Amino acid sequence: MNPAWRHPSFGVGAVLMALVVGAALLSLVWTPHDPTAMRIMARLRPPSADHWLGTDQFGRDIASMVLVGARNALLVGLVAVGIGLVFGVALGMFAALYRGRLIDEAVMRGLDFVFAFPAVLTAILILTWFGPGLVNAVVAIGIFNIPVFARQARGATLQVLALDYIRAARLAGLSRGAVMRRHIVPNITGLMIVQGSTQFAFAILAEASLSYLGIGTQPPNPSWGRMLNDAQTYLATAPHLALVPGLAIAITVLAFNLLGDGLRDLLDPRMKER
Amino acid sequence: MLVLRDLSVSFRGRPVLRNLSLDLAPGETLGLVGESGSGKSMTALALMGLLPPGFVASGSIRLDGHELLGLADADLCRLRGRAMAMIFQEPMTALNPVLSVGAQIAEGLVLHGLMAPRAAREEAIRLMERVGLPDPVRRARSYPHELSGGQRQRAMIAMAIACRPALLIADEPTSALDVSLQVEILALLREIRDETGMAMIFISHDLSVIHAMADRALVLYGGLAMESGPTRHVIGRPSHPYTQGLMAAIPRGNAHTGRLRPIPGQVPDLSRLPPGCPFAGRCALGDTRCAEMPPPLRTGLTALHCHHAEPAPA
Amino acid sequence: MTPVLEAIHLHQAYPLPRQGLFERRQRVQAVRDVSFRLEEGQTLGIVGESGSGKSTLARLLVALEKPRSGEVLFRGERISGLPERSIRPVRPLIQMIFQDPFGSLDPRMRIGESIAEPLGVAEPWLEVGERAGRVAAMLERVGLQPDMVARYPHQFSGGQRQRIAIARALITKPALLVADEPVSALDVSVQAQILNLLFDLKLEFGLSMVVISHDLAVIRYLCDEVIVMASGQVVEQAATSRLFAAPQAEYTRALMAAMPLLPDARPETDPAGGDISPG
Repeated sequence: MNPAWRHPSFGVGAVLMALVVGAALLSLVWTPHDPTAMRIMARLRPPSADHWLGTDQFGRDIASMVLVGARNALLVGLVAVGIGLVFGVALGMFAALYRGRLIDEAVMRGLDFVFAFPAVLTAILILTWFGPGLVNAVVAIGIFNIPVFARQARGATLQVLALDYIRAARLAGLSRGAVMRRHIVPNITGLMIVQGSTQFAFAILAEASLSYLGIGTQPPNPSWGRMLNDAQTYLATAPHLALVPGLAIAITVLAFNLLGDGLRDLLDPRMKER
Repeated sequence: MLVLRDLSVSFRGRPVLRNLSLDLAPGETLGLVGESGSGKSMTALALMGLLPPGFVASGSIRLDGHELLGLADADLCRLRGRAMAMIFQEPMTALNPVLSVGAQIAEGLVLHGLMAPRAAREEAIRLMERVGLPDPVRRARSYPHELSGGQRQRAMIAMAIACRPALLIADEPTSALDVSLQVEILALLREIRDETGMAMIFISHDLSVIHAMADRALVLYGGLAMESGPTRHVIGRPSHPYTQGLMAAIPRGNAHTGRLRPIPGQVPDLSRLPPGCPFAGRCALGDTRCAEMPPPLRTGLTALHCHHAEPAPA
Repeated sequence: MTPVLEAIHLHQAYPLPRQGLFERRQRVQAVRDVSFRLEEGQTLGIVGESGSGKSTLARLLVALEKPRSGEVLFRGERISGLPERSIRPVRPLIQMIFQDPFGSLDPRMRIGESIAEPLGVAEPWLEVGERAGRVAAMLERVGLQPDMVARYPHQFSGGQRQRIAIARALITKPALLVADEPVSALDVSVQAQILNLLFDLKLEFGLSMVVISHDLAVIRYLCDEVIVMASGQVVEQAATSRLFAAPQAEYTRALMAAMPLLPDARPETDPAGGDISPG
């Protein structure tokens, strides 16, 4: 057996992730019902043989909506985290390299400025300017991930920069870029992965909030966040409406966190053979 | 006063310290010498009842006739600081950064019910003066980060001796200090020991520091006592191959005129110790018996655990 | 003859954090007017307590930092205060080893790769097989098995890591090796192995060395000439034998008096042990 699978959190995380990805892929070719089809006669039905997870207030099939929602959730999470990761890590490492100089101050204070705004409020601003929609929402959420990654990356880079093996690398004649690529990036990757898995959860929840406000995923395109928020009204009469998307979000977030923890350990040679 | 019999510490079934026996009288200083993984710090922690979780001690530790091993934590708490105290290598991490130095020194006196808070504060100032901290009245209100490394170590000594413990354990107390400070701190510890008549266990990897401090020395390697006896014999006329090797490995001149004779090999990993003598793999006299059978104790001028070497006759 | 290394009136200062928003930044003088010459094949010791500026001096000598004023000459050519690009050609000739063998190797790089790294920059034309051969030979030379190349640093003890760091430093056949506290972090029984290894390699490679230590015994063992530093300044400079026989400066005498001395051991039998050998 591959040792990676023996790592408990990686193994469990991978299984959960396979479940979510599987659902997303499945929804491309097949869903039990049309997720957008409304049947007023079949509103708020409990789970049954026909509707496995019941129906919502418009009589739509919840199982089908959850499957299609997985697609949006993964898209939002991956793209928003990706934007934050790429730009944030680059800016953070760049700032660390010029620590204490004007450029460092400018970059970091600029990011503080972004960070200081209430995230959802600014996302609303951006979305009212550029128009609502999934893509714009994802970009807005991604922008808010940048300072988070940048701060982490700057701190981690500074820590690594202070170590003797960086001095040794410079003495070997490596250029700044080569030192970054060969020594700094591999040594901060683990931390960034863990941060990324946390931010993934943030992104899904942020998308949920934006969809609730009507400026995220546009109906009838199903979103776990909007499903959860719509369910509020029926919490007493039809709790499964909230339970199902809530569980879906929880499983996905958990999958990412476990995978992140597992990857961090697996990428660390110290955790391998002694 | 302190009697250790067959003290062993193990972690997950692996021995970290094997059958350590020693006696210590009031006013006496025992030097524990060892490299990393020798078990010297484990010994100190076992004595204080502060072994990390997962470590199991067996054998017997008697302080003034009372058995310490197996004592409930609450009873140990009463002894710690009162009957025995410890100073550490890194005073910065051993002192609480958010409490003033004076308050930390006075704390033990109040906690053990020896003094009222006001009297304890006075006593703390007196103690700070005793350990050579300048301007103790003002210093008592300082925080650890406002003191220099040497001053912090002095503050920690004041804290340790506040309740007049019968036993002071000093774990590498000068290893983080510059040589000139080291001399001062060692002198201070000697003075205080002679004044109070407390017994001291002085732990160090540095043979010259042990030589300067200890009446008797015990050389640990891989959790086993290699050689012990009066310091001047252990260091001046070592009989155990390990002690001899250690002495020969200390540079005393220039390489052009006399090369060092290092002990070959690496300090063994505690998880891979042979069942016999831990030094077997690096010893010039080592053979299969050494690796498989625990070495017998032989006594003479010094006491040693070895299959081959004989101590000089007493 | 041109000395290998020459320091001319070196000064280094670091800014302290501003005390107040409108106050001027104070500077702390780390190295003050240090000058010396190191002849080919010689070993210079720099001894001092913490805060004496010896580690700053080391970084100036290998051009990891730019001095505030003064010059460092390597074989008569200035290497101080130059842009990185201009120093790069001489980098392979000036190497350094560090105190902490746990921090001087990238924990995520296999040691073979770490050792080969300077070679990749200095002699990029080498073929893969040639490079591997050089690495294996170097590993063997420092007392490790060549088949250990695929291991990671955490799989080695402190002494072995220091051997790896030495292998990496010498793979480009440097002319100058600066050793900053090379044995301070090692166990006593391993220190002597590394000291002997450094001494042997110095003779074998015809190295010139600068050894930085707080330990007078280490300095005396390895060095031909010694500089004693205190608060950034040179307090005394003399040939090793003369310095230890008759220290001139008050500070040097105090330092020597503070050094705890051991009596010579008179073992009953011949001491155990051979020479340096692999773990």
